[in-house]
Amino acid sequence: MGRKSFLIKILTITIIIISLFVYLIAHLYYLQIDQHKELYEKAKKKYTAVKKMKGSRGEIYDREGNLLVGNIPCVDVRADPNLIGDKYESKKTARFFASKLKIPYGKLLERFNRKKIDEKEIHEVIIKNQISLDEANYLKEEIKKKKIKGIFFFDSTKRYYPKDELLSNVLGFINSDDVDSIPISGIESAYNSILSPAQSNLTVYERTRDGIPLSYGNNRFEDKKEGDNIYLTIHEPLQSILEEELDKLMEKWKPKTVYAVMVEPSTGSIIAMGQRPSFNPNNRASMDTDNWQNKIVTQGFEPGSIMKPLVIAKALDSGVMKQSTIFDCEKGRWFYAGKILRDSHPYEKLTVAEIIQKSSNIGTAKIALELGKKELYDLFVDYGFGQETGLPFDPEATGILRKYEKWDSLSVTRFPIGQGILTTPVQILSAYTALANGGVRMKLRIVDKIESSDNGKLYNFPIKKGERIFSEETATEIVEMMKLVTETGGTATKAHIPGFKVAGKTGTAQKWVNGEYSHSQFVASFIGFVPADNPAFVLLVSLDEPQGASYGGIVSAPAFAQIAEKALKYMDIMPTEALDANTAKNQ
Amino acid sequence: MKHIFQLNSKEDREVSTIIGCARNLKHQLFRLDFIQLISVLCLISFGISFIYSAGQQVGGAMTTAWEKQIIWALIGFAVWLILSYSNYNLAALVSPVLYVFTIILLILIFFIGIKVYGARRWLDIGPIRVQPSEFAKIATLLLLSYIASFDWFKVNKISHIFYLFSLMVIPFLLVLKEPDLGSSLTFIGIFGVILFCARISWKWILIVLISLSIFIPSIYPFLHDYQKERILVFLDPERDPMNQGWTSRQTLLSVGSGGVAGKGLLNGTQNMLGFLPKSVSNSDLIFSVIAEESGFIGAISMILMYMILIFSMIRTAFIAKDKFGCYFAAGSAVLFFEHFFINIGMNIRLMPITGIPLPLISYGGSFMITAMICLGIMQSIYMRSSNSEF
Repeated sequence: MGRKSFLIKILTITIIIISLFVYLIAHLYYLQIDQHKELYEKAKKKYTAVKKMKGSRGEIYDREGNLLVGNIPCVDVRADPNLIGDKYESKKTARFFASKLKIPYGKLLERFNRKKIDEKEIHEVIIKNQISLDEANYLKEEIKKKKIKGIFFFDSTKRYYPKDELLSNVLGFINSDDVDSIPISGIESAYNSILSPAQSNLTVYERTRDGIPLSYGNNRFEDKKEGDNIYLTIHEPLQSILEEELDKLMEKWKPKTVYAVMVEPSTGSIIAMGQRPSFNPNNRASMDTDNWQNKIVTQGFEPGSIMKPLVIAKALDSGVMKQSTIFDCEKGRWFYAGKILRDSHPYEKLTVAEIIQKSSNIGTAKIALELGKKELYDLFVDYGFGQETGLPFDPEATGILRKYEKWDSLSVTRFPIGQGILTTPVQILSAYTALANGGVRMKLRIVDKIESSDNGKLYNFPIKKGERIFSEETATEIVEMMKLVTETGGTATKAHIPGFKVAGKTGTAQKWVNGEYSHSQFVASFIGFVPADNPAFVLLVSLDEPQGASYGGIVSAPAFAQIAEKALKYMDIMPTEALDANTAKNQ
Repeated sequence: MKHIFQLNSKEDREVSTIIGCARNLKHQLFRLDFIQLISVLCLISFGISFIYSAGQQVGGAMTTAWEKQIIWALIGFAVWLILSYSNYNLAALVSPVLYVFTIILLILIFFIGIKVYGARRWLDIGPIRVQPSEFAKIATLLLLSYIASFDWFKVNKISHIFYLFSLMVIPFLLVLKEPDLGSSLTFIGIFGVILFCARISWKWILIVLISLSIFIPSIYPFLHDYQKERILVFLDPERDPMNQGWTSRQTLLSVGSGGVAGKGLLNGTQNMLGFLPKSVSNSDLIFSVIAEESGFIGAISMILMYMILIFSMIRTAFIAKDKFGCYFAAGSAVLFFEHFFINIGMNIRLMPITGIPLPLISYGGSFMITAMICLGIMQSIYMRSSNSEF
């Protein structure tokens, strides 16, 4: 037991300690130098979050910038399954949200328990999208109290239709489910790519363990790209006037469908366009799939007599007759090609003008025969029948216009009176712009401009150049004849508006039911423009199967007058004619 | 050679009186173990810098922890200075009293202890919160060294080994029961090194090593669930990635992402972003913060300073003029080394996570004071050694 043995002991301790030191240093070297890159990457992954940030969807305005479809702020609730915790915590969290947000418990638990997909950690699962701000604040507090971890709240927006039913068939709607917004119909669907925010930008940011992005971290927040805004050609106040009248018509005549369209003839812009029954996009529960369609564009109808001026105008223009040419209307019964054609009232000799005023089928058929089969077909093509108008509603109906080679001998006498030819209301309106516009047919448009979310620049949707179908003189002539329709002796005296000349035409089409033309089911229409010589708009009012009356002059014409009168006042258009004594007194 | 372990009665008489102490003050100032002093100063300032850094990132009450640590360090130095110029044999004489006192404190913990994070380790004494297990370490070290230094003590006699063992096992069990596995294990180290330096025969060492290899696995069933879990998680970190394994993996990522030169003071993202448990990022896990912010260079510098400190302690053990001084110095060296090794080991996943601080660096008053007491006595031993010029 000497100093030597003590030295050995001390040395032993020293050697053990030195070797442990060396071991530590070697391990540290391995971690901090050899494995540095790998571990650093791992650490970075831990505190770097990649999130898809979505801007909000573009808004839809009317021509003057009134908001038609917008977004309201809301909150998306997400969870990071890898932060929630163990099975017990997952259950607790799932139970919490199941009771607070009324989501199936099992569905949530499944999301929370799935921590990886193919070895890749999942850092974001949806709990619920688009909850209100109040609800989110309440949840935030509760989560703090209950010590629930791994829950994030992201600002988001929710589609909102501030005008409820107004223009709903045109605007359409989107369905927002858990994952995405799915456009269902209308402008929302047709211009989805423009309205949609740019496809989810990747945003990389450093975050704390609780998931809160660091304000001072090495972040790459890309600006969220919002969707572009759309301005329609619609005038919201006129749309309101129009739809108000549609409601009254529904109540009074109880038709299956009623619709009205107002178009600016000089540009083809649709000013207002509505239908009943309709739907309220904010109240999905009440929605009936049948009412989603924009029937004005997606369904065809046999136009009936409103077709007549379109054909007669061309006949006058081609020189085969004059305004004063007289046709024999056969006392209301005319055999042609083995079939009988009737007028609603028996007439004998009528001038072309009178044929329009009285809406004689026989007279119109005879005029068409003068014009010729090929010319009639070409005219229909020029008017755009059988073709899409290009309005953004899917699926657009084209109507049915058979090739003239396939026309039978009756076709030439029936198509001009709007029988056997299927058109859409918008095709008729486009055709009527030729009458209202001095012979030039305009293509219809509903989107006026798009506002880029990048720079606020406006991109106008150009007015397409019109197509001349007949001369201006002919147009003046036919307008004079159509004025007679709304004057004493015409079929639509109820379309008369005090102080204005109204050019128009009624149409009462029998519906084709079970292989023959029905005598009880009609489509009653009136189409007209006012002021007749310098029209502000062309307006079509059409009722499908009105109850209690069937004539366009009785059912539709008064509604036309109601809408048109208010519209003219709103548009501040001065009366062109002296008011007659009675009306003046009333005012 | 044999005079080394005999007391020089003349010198002993001189220094055991305050007058003698004052007379030799100037002379003794130059006899200070400057190697120890410098490494201690370096380590403490190093520690304070990173307590500051960790605190600024975490915020809250920890923001000002570095100021408190300065105060603890100053108190520690005062204690150190007093002890350095006192006769360390006084410490040996009071060691039974200290021992009994700390045992009482350890027992008190079970009644009035403060529970923090599931472990009852703290006592509130007036305005301060102390951790009696830290004081128990030094009291036990003093007592065991004192007893082993008696002439009657025969290290190779089984009954004597048993006396010593019983004195060690009381605080060991009390601390284990708190529960604080990491700290309790340090008692075994102290016990072992004292026997070793008391020249226990290699035969006994062999027996102990063999029995330990049986004993350690056999205590497993008596461990707390959380202690078992920690060990299991250490063996298989994927076992519970969110809780136990989480900490272990995060410390590894922190250390690894430091690289050669680190991210710079105040820039350690792992701590800043809350991936290291905030409550211990300035105490038990401070090494992760150091390694991340100062890199391999910083970590190695710190380890080197520890090496120097521990070698100064071993040197003191070697040159100590009596058995008590020798045992105490060797025990202290091992105590420091155990803390150092277990703490760094758990930060780099060589060890399971146990609540054991990094001496002189981790935030905490109890252990700072304990360490400074230890170092003060070491200075006293050094200055009174026969060949301090060594």
